[in-house]
Amino acid sequence: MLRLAWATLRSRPSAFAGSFVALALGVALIAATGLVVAAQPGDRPVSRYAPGVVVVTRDPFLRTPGGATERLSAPAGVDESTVDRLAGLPGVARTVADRSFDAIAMGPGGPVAVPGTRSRGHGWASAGFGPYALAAGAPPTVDGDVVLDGRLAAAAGWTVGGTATVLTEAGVGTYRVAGVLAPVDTTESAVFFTDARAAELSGRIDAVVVVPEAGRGPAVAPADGLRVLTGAAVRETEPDPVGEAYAESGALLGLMASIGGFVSVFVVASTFALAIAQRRRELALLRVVGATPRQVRRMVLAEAVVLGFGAAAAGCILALPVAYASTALLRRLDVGPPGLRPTLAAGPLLLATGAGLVVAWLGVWFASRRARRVRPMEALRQADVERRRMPVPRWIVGLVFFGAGIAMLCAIPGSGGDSRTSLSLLVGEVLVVGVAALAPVFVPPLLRVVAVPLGRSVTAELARANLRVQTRRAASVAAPVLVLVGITGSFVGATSTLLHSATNEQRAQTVAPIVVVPAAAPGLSATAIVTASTVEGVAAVAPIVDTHVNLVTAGGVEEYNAVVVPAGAVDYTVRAGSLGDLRGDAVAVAASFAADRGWHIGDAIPFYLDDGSPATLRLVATVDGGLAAGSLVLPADRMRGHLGPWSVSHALVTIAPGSTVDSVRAALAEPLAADGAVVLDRQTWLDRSAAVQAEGVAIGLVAILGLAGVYAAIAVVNTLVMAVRERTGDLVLLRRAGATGRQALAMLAWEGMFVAAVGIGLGLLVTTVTLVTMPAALRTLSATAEVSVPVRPLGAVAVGCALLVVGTSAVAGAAALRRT
Amino acid sequence: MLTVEGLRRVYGRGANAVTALDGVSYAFPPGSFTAVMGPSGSGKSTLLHCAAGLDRPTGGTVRMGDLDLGQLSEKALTRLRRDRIGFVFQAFNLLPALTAAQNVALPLRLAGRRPATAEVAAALDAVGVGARARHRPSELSGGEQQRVAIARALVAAPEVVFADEPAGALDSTTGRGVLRLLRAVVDRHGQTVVLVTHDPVAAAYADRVVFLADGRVSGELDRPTADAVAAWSAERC
Repeated sequence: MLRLAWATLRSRPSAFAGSFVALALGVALIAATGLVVAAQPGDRPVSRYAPGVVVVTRDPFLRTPGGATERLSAPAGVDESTVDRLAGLPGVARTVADRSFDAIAMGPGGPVAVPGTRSRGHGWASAGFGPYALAAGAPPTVDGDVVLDGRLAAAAGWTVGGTATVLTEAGVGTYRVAGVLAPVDTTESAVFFTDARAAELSGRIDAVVVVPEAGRGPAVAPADGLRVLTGAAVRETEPDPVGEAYAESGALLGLMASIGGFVSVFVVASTFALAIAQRRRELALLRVVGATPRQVRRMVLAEAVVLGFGAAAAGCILALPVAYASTALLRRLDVGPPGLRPTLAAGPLLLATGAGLVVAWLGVWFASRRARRVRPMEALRQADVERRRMPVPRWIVGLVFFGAGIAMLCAIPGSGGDSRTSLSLLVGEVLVVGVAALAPVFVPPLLRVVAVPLGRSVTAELARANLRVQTRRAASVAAPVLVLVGITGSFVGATSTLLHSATNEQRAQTVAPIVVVPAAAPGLSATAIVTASTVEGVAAVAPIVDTHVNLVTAGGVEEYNAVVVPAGAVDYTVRAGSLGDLRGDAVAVAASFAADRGWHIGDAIPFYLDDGSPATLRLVATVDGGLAAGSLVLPADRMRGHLGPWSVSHALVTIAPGSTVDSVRAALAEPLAADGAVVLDRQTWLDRSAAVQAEGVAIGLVAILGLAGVYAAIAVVNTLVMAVRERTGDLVLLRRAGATGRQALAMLAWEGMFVAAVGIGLGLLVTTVTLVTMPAALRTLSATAEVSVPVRPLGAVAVGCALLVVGTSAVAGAAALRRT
Repeated sequence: MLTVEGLRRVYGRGANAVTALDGVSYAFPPGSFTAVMGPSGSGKSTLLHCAAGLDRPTGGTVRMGDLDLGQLSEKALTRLRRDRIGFVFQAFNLLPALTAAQNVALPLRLAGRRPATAEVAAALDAVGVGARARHRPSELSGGEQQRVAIARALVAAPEVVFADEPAGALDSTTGRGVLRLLRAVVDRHGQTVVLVTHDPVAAAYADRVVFLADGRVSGELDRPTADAVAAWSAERC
């Protein structure tokens, strides 16, 4: 059969061109994403540690007695006693208590940063074991002195003897520049204080740097709760902003690959199905001559394998240009690290080739089953009329996927914030498969509905008649449209509904008229809170803290977002219990969160806090919510000392009776600006948060769907060209019956219109399922959940598809007419 | 011995049902050349398709010797078609992707055998198109294509050869050549040939003519001449 497959492929290449193009582009899409993911950052910059030192930190992993581990977001520091103990070990020349904290240089126009680095403050002792050398000035002697990284000083325009303003978590301070270091290419732009000042600014000892005696190896053994890093591993403690940016873009690229793979399989499957349907007579003849159904199927599969290799090769060649286009798109959207360039690596190409072969195999699998069922009689028939029975397996597949999609939609609200995006995308894919399987049920009524407003003319009726009979061809053309409209509508609908509901929840819970947010730092400094509360007209300043808790589950340890809220600052809707009891060893939880885990008021639940310390908290209340902020509310008194740096995300300010919002805002503005904070009124803050997240959704949409969308568009054109090519006979018949060329073209255009309408209609069905189920599921969490219909993106995609289909039909039809 | 008993074939259902065959019983003696004739709509092509195992009748049986075709699975029926039956249609006999030689060898290849080049060449020579072995159907004339089709129908040495209007699309000279080939198949090799045609001149090549009308056998004619056949048809219409 392989010989036969090869002979068929070689002699009639045009019959397979469509399938080849679909597969080659699919492989190119997958390979391109792989090439971008494989892109590595260049050489790592210089380490801030001299070679040979040993760095001892607190173990950043939570290790439960049961053996589960989870990386902590805010591990605690090292004890003073540990520093002394390590100093006493044999072979140790000296130890340094290294304090490392964010120190942001504040220039006149705002924060100053060195690109590709993080600004960190240390005590001067930490400069002794690194590649630092003074270029000018002297080490800091009094607590008001600082020594700056040369690059940072240059960026801020500060010189020896001048004044530097530095923002730390303790607040804003002004210092005299005692010295400037020679620029070194480290990932930190360092600010060195005196050791005493550093101890004031940050109470934690983040690491103990052990310098071994010359010639002797390090002799530090790991102890309980400590991590010992030697050799190249010491760099784990250094910030890696570029690496983090690559990791972030990796997550996005993963989603792009997922959607690209899905669309590829879908498109290739429908293209192959069309190709085989067009060869029905030939396959029937094979059956007449004596090929068993199995042999026919094997031939079709063999063709797909041969085609697959050829198309995979072509796809790999196309991969690099497509990868460059992809990175250009990401750079346009400001996503991912600045220097992102795809690297030509064998791995992704091989993977994509393998994927391409798998896609070809999967794509042809169902079509080959249909090929097997071709009856010999069909070789003798002229007309192509197909049977329109819905086989039972198709019903099963359709209903199962439909049900799975709905189940997933119900599960999204309960899942963590990160998995919501990937789940939303997956839901779209699952629903599209379900609707596609059930399509023969939906299509005839859809056609009837669409035809009513669209066509009464004879050409339109001809088009409708053709479509009713040639459903296989229509389905193959409508498939990419369905995928595009369905996934866009479902994904964007789900994410924007989540966003809209979260914003509603935030609006309902926030009653304070003024909100203070950080301008430059990751959070609000302690002095900002104090400054705000001393301003006239301010009744109370409530800092809202973002933190995490770790929960031991059957599957290991899970980290969840939590908030620490002063009493009464946030207006929660209490479902059970009382928030007044939220102090000491207590916790309040979102009602659905508690319900999912079978918790009741009064239960004592064991947690691990953000720094890894264990805490058993009593459930005192359940509340509505969990969409906007974390699902758990912790009491401020218990959390003191267990929070990470910059944990105050914003502060809510209530005004005293007799003052107006505007006057208090004006009064707060200047003092807080000096502290690196900005004062907003409630509405502005809500709008800003919503806008930032909406932008994220828009970027996500373009990035994730951009490439796959282009592929689907090409697939639409490709399939249409294939479909029109076999209509030459129809067109000739039509002309002979008395139609003008114009009328024949009009018929094709109408067919295109109807097919596009079917694809869009099915895609809207997917979207509707999402937009109906999702808010219902969200409402169990939060009464404020509301649907958000993505009218603009959907409209744009739908109109684009319609134009593409009709336009291609007209052009391909004109070419076909000219050939007759 | 090929026999059909009470053969019925109905297309469609209910009010739209069309009865193509309405109880046809006939025995095709081995080594004979039988022509099946009738006006269009009489069911002659349908009879051929059912007898050849291409279509499953709605009622009645088709037997090849002791073998009841209705009891066979799709796979067994395919094997039967490959090994013991050959046919030639009016058009679209050959796979456009394969050369004449490859088309002829196809049934044997499908059966798992690899025919010798000489075997295929001999089959093509026997029908007079040996020189065109390496050409594809698009490069062959209508008559040459039909000859290649006959060569393929004969290559597995089948018991029965069915031909549905094999000369229908050809000019009279070429058509006669094709019919003479079929005649030689019966005379020289003792195979059975069943020919469906509406042309009295073609029917004259046969040993016997069976007339069909409205799905039923309406008459027979032994040792027909073209005139006799034409006269019979004229009387009945």
